Amino acid sequence: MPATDNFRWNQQKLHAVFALSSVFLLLSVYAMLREDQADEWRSVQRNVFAIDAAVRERELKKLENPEFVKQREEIDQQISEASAELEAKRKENAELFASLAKQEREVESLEIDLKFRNSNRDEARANYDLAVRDALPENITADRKAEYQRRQQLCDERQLDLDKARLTLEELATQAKAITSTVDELETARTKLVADAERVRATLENIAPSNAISAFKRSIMELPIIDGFNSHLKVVQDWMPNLKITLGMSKIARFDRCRTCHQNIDKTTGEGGPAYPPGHPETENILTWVQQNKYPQPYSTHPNTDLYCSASSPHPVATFGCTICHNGQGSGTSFGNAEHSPNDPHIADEWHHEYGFHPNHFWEYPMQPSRFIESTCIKCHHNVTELGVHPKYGASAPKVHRGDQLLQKYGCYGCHEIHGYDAGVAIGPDRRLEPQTDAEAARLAADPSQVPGKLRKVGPSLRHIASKTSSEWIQYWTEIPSRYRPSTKMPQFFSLTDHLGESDAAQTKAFETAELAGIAQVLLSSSQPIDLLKPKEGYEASAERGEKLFVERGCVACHQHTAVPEAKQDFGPNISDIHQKVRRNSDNPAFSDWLYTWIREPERYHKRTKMPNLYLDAYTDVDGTTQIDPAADITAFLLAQGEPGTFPVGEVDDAELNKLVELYLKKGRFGAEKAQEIISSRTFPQKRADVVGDEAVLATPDAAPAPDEAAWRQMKLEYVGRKVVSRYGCYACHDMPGYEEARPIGVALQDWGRKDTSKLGFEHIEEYLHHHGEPAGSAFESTSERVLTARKKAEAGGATAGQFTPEEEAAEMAATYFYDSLQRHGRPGFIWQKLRAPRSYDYEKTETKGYDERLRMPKFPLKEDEIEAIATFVLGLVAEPPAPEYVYTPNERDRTRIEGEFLLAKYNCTGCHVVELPKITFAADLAQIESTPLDAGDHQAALDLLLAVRPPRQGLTGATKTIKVDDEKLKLHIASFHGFVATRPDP
Amino acid sequence: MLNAHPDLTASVLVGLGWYYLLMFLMNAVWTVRSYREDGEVAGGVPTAAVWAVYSSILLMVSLYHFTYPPEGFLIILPEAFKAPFDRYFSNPVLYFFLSIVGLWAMIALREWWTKPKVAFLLLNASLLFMGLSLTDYDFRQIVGKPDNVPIVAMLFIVAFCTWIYFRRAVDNDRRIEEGRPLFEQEDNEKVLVWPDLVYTELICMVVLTAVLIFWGIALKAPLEEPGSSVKTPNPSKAPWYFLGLQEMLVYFDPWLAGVVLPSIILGGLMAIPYIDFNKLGNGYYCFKQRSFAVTTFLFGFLPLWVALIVLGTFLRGPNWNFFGIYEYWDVHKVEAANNVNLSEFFWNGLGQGLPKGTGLATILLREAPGILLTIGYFAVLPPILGLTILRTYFVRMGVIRFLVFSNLILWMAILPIKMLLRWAFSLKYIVGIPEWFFNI
Repeated sequence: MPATDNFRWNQQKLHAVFALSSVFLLLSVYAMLREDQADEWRSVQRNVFAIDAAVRERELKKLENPEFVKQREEIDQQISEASAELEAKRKENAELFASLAKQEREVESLEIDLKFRNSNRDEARANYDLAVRDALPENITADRKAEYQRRQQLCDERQLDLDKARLTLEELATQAKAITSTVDELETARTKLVADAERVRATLENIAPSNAISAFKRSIMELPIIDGFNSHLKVVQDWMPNLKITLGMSKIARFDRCRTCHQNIDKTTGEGGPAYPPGHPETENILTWVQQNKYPQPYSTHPNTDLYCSASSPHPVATFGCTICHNGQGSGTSFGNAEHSPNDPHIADEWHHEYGFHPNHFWEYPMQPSRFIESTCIKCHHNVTELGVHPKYGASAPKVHRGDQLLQKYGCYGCHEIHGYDAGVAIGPDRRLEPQTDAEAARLAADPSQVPGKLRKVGPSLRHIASKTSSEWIQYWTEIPSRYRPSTKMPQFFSLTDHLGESDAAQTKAFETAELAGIAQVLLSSSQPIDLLKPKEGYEASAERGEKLFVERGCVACHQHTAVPEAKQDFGPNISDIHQKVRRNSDNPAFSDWLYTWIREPERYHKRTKMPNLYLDAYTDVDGTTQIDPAADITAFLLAQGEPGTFPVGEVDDAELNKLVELYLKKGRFGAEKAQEIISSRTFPQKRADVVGDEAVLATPDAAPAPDEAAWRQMKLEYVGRKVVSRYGCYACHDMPGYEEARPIGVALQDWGRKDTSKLGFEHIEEYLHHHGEPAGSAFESTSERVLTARKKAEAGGATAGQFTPEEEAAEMAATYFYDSLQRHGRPGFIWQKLRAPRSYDYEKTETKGYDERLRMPKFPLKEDEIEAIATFVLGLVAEPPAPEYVYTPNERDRTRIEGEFLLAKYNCTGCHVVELPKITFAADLAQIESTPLDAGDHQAALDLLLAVRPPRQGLTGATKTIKVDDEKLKLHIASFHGFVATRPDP
Repeated sequence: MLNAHPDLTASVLVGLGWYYLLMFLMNAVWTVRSYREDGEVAGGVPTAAVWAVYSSILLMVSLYHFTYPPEGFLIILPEAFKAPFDRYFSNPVLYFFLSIVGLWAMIALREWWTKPKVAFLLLNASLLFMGLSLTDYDFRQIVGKPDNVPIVAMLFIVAFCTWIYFRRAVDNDRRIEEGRPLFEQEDNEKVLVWPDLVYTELICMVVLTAVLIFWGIALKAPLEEPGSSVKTPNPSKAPWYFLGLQEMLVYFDPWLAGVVLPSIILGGLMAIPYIDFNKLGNGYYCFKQRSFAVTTFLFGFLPLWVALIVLGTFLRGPNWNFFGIYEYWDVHKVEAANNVNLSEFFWNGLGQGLPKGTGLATILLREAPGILLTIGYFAVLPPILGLTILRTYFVRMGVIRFLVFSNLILWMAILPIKMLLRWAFSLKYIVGIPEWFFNI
């Protein structure tokens, strides 16, 4: 059927629909542009301009003070008077000024003509040069040369005319100037007077135009599309082509657009301080900020412009950008996209309400929360030391430095290697054990791509332990070290059963008793004999003299002892209890050859001890007769503190011991039946020489059964002990015979800071912290309750509302941060709980794994703030060093200083020696400090020199403080210098 | 502690308020239609009154959503429904089975569900189900993901297009039976290019552009983590339109699921006009005259393509595990999956163990059962089919066309066959020769 001429749709209706849909499309375009213009940074930049304008206005007000206005008015008055006079004079000398004007025109027209002639001449010269270059026929070359000369002639003539005319002009001008000079001078003076104010006004006019046309023009520049043509609202970016960022697989140049909002971040005042000091003003009103000179983020300057951002600092923002230190998404231009990170969940809530913040786990480098702000320092500062001690900047990153110090103190690197080199290239801080054998040292030295570790094992050597102490003490000590010595740094491996159910805990306890006995067995059976020193035959050691020598000869520079309460150093252990544990001479229980040897010659017992040889050689006293052996006296003093201790040790249940042996034998690829047969028959089916591994201790040289049950029990204990030593990696801290080549048992940490969180074993930790997690005696049932309480208090106003003390707030909000991180499976939360209660990650996991597969990490005696410091350090280990030019490479002088500082800390040199004079700060009334009490006498020159070298009052810092003295408030000046205080000043 | 995964939030309630308001408007319009066209329920009460009551309930529900806080809000899908639903209805076997049953019901009950009233009731039911389900956090996470919104839309669009087809087909079938002229003959749709066609197209273009822009503003393109070969997202999903293919990867090796099967799908679709010998049904909707063709197409398109896309998008979570629609996508969920090759069944069944070795003969011997089965399936089955149940087709098509046709059908059938074998016997490969990367 053919089409008809009738329309299917009513045309009027179609037009209406079309019109409506067009309006709909227009609306969508409008919505799109509006959405595009709604970027946060635009409003921020508008505020920045408003702040800037307010600051300029303030500046202008300051410059244009009444005195200034008065001066300006005076000058204006003078100018108008002088101008009137000048007008009269001008009339008098009308002819002169007329000829001056005429002459000026004359010079101008001559100049123009000369320009034309010059360019004609240049053309002719070029033609001639081309002819020469192209070797044109001689006649042409000659013609062109002639033409050039002709035109040059014309130029010369005109130049002559011009010179003459200028001379005339100058004469006339001099005459005229004599007449106008008063006004000229006045005007120059005015310009000079108002120069500063005019400059400020010009800037102000630029930002906030006062005339309508400029203001309109400025607003036009903010419109969509037009704003693409150099608008004042624009994205500001720092481009660091060599400071790359790793995204997914590839390294790409870093773009930081942070300054789009943080526009004032690098602005300093003339004196060098922040131009827009950071602060938390109480109002939202920009004028108040300017008035109080306190600016909130993102409008403030970096708080430390000496070190960061400013052009004169070591880290100028144009070179370093922002994200290399702060992390975050540099390319983001909104609060969310920049990946800001809250310092605790309460702040996260506030941000959520204010900026719609939500954590984005897709971005691999969220900004460092302020508690970890120092982590990233060690990307470039591999020595770490300079972050804690620096002659110019002091402790610029004390927390990460403290974390490093703690990590070294507790010897974390013994199990968790931090390899600072990748194929010989430095990638981060290097914290590794030194080579343990000569062969290893030689191998590393021969390989240029290897850099040997430098650190010693932190624990004492156990190579000759049989000469030092008893099996009971070893077991008692190892079980819970802090029970014997509360201040010990040895961590606790055993009796960590908080996370276990009752029956599981009992079984664990039974196993551990056997394991502890096993460890003692291994240590004593492998202990090597040692030649102990003895005092001279017949020497009568004096404990009384010993106490004096203990103090005088420097022991208290490192050790504490209850008998010497003044001693406060804790570099070495607190040895108040040493009399209880050391093995005493069998013939003389009042003396211990081992202790004598240790004090006299520590390296004899432990080659790599940090304990120095104090050269405590025997000598004859000043009276010429009394023989004194200081080491013997000190030994006597230490032992005289009490009787040897008795140490209760658990009884090993044979059935449990057998269970353990069976467990390990089954791991050694024996079937259950075979293992039981070995245990019951006391026979290992191989000769000892043929057995590789710990099973060797169960074998006899001829594969015969063990001689008797007692010997077999010893063998089983040693077998279990060896398994435990390997499992817990005791050799990470202690030198142990037979374990010189054993490898660290823990996860290497050099790139832990970017470890994929899906590889962390969180297991049932949330469940654990929901019900447990706080130590006995805590106010809270569980960590979850503690965190909940803290968040409630924070919501109720926190410390400012009196909910917490400031210290409490810091500690509790830190807990909420870490707990929240744990819930989100973050690295910080993981390491926090791992250091608080390492075995808690085994909560309800022990039921489904073997006893020997349980977590091994011991519990260190760390406080929560120490844990945070360690976390700061470890989270900074990312093994992603920036380009070499960014990595801190100290010059020779600084390098030696840094290494020196490192050694000073390592050996506690400052325990005995004064390296830096203490800083003394005091307040004084200037009037009371006399300039100098010295009398010149005949030596005026010398006094002058002295006063020049050490001027009086040079210690004044310029600061003042109001101090209450005898109920009277005095404003005193603060002075500070380095030196000793001989007497305590009278308050 | 704040619940990080709240079922209800203030913004969810406002969103649902709008949702129910739209449903109210939709039903209000329907009520007017019903008042004009429908009769009475009983005793002088017009059917429209029932719709009016229903619409006003929707309005009240909408207002309730707008005005009440999330705490203590009553209209929420109860756990007592969600947990059993996830537990009993969440496995791929049942899902696939239900999709087949759905197809069967669609065809068998076509006279019933193509009635406008029934269709509108079904639409209302599905919208209510979705509205209630949106009160569940996990459901919202999956359905509300900006990526997945088009797929939700697709569900309704596919349903609508299928409905249109069946409605017209049922109508025409009835007309043919009664000897009346076809709908297409009666209602000639020929129109003028200008203005009826081009002008309306222009308007559609303008409106669609505006809709896309508003959509782009309202639902921002999601940005996930930077790509990395060492850390891939879990689950890693293909673009939504390829999720049917990706689902096939569960049952087949990549070379089959990713290369051979898609090529055969494309080739097969191109071959249809040349295979088709049925001259009926050209230029008008019908079902009865082309029941085999329509059923085969719908089987290939609905359960084997659209349903698998929905399965891949909404129901496959981390580790490609199957998750219920209200279930949390837990990375730690482990499903026991241990599959065995046909050769292992065969040789172990004989009590001999697999032939060991990597020589050609050993491998062929080892896989002989599978190879023979496969050859039998593709080479022996078509003649048998042609001589028995598909005899009429064979006679009308001729040898070549019939072989092409039967092979295409057999290729289409291997997906459900392999699925059934996997579910019933944990069968991994029929022919498994990893030595040559050749697995079927």
